[in-house]
Amino acid sequence: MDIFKIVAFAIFGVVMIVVIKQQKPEMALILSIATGIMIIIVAVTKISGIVSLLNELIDKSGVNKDFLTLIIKVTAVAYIIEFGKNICIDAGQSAIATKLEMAGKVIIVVLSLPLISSLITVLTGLV
Amino acid sequence: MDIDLLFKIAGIGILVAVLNQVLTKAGREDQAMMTTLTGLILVLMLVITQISNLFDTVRTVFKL
Repeated sequence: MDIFKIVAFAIFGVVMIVVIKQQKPEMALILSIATGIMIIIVAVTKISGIVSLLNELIDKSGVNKDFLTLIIKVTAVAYIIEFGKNICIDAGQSAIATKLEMAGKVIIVVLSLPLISSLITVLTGLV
Repeated sequence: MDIDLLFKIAGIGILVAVLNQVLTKAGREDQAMMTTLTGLILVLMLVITQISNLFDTVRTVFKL
């Protein structure tokens, strides 16, 4: 199964990082970034199946389509922000990590503004 | 999941570390700094192509 390859890859990457950590800490950081990228690429390619299945379900159920696209966008933003944030924390720059996280939250709120406004219009319509 | 990228980066790292030691022992600190910088830039180029690869994958998968 794929999971064994991923775990073996991660362990191998970590061992290489520890080997290089003493002489060249910056090279070890770049190595950890590369390992992280490799693993996330495999994970993200697996998500495409889920996304296409969700699209089919939404089409069949006839619910408004842009809700799903919004959810998918927000998860993508969360994925990338998490990726960058952990790299910053690994490098010891937790200040930058929190700023990155705050920027991610702002982006997500901006993305979901139309949804909030449509929700409010629906609610006022009910009252 | 190509593991040879990790081999490349680790190899360059070790090579730069060894070269650094040799050059500093030989008394040429500036050249040691130069090799460190070139090694770092080389590795950064490798990682940046992988980062663009990741962002393209995310863009296609999530249809951003």
